[in-house]
Amino acid sequence: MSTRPDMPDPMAVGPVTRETVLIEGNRHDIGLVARPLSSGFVAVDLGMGADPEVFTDEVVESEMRRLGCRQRPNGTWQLSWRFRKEYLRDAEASAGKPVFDQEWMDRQAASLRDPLYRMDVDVTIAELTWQQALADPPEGVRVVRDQGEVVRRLPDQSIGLGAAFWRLHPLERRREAWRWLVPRTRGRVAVWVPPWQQPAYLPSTIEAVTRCFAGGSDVGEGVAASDSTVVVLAADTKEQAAEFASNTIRPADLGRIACAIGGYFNTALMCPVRKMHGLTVIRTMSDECAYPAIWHDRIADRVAQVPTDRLGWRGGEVTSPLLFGGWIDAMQYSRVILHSSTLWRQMIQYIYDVGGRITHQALADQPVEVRERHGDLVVGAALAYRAALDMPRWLRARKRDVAPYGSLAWRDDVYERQQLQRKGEQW
Amino acid sequence: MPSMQTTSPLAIRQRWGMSRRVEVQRVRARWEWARRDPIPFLRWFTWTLDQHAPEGTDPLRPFPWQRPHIQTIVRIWQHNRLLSIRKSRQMVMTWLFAALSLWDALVHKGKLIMLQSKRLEDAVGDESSGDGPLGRAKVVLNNIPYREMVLPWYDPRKHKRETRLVFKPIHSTIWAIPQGAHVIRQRTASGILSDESHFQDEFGNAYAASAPCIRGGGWFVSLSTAHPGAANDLHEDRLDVDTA
Repeated sequence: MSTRPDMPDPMAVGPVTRETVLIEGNRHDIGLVARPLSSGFVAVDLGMGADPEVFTDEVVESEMRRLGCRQRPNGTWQLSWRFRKEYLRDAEASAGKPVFDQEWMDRQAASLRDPLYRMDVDVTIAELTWQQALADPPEGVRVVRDQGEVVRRLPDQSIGLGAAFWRLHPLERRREAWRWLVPRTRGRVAVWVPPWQQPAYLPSTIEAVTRCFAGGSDVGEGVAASDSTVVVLAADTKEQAAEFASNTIRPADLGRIACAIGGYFNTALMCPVRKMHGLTVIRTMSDECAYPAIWHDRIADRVAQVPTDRLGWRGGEVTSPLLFGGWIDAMQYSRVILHSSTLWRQMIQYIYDVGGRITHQALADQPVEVRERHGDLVVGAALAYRAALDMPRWLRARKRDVAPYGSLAWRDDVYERQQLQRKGEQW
Repeated sequence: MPSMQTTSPLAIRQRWGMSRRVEVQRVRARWEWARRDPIPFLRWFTWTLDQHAPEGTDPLRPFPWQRPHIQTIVRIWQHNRLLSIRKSRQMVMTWLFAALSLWDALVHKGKLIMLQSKRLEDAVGDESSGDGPLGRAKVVLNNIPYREMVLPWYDPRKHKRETRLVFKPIHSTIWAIPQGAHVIRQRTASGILSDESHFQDEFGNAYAASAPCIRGGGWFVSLSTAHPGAANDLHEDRLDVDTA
């Protein structure tokens, strides 16, 4: 017969606890929490803290080590994903957590400002006669006395229509009007960094450059349900240069206006989504507008990346880690500079849902299909960032004019540098 | 089998040195108490298999009824017919609800209790190793001390089947079923234990099918570690029975 002293006997006499006991959690997890639901159920959350007899500190620590947690120098633990998944109901714990930390967004808040100017496409100029345009020109449009020129950009960013503009076929005039952004007080394209603006820091041997830009475009249906957007970033500083958002523009028109924006920003590399209505945008940009710089997909699972003939970004939804992972990383380490408060506000509204997927908090209870139809500035900005990574810093650089060796100007330069050096030493 | 030694009446009587008359009186009193309250049943009449028992020790152990969370959960289960429990692992919850299902079927007449898991194999489990809700219920039933005295009508050869325990004299049945709604829809269950419900793809259908049983007075326990899905939506109060 077994008489082990550690084994309680089923016939032993002892008290029975009849009262419910309040059990508190420990530092790893909650203990026991019960709450009534509207369905009549009682939801009980039962964590490791509910059973401290089994989950002693030693057991918990050994579990942490087994599942890859790391102990920080101050003695606290950095919990690993495996541990959180196993014990802490990680998908639930992260539900509602903002994707972009408040700290990252606070850093970006310092650079938010109003746009420098606004622009828009004005198709109505195609309907004007020469006399009407001369007598009462629309905002941002002027008639120039140049017989041979169709349209040109004037120094004040307005466009000048030459007499040749009215010699075009009406359809051609309309197509030409789609190609040009004109300054407008209430234009839909907000510009923070003009395309001619020079970078703050240039090497001493370079006098001026033509900056590179990259744009991303997320496409909605254009039925006032979600925004179709274009966001432009400067390729060298990843600074937000412009943005466009409209919830009533049709995908084909978005393609035309994306070409106009890209053309204005030194033929920026544009990266629209390829999914759903994005195909219409890409078709318009490539076939109708013959835009030369549309981002290509690449095959990355080879030794060398191979460009493909597939235009645009294949996904577009925020759940794609290929797209959003890099954007989150860029935000975390401040690799981009945001200027738009609209974009900033949209970003702080992104949360993780119960499934661990990234979603806009207004869409958290919507099906995935609805989320994928939703377009907004954040996806456009993430696409622009992806395209900007493929761009050089500058398109063309004008070297500084250096005096020939041994000339009088060269000797003056040498003397000036020496004087500066001596003054520096004296001081 | 070592477990028969520790739970056998002779061993207990010899250990405590009690007379047969005292022994019978005590067992009858405790069984009467256990019939009215599941915690004494868990305390005196529930033995479980410990898969983590050290080498050389008896894996058959008394159920750890004294842990505070066990008693709390039992009281919550007694006072609320509908429970959704989301837990960490290794909380002895499956053992607990297997024992509670058995208690409900043994002490009440005419109970049909369904133990549901993702697959039928998971629900049936293994009696010898104490796996699966039905396998655990069988382990508890096999090792009830003084079973011949407290359950004189029970005959393992007649009442124990592969996928169910059929207690004909009291018209109670414990039945292991796979996930889904088809079995639940055809029967009127008195109690449903949905084990690892968050991992059941068809939990929403099963829950909708069990709604008439729930309204009729049966109990329903959704028991699982956390995982996104319909059962998790139920736990988060996002699942409607009409649309599940």
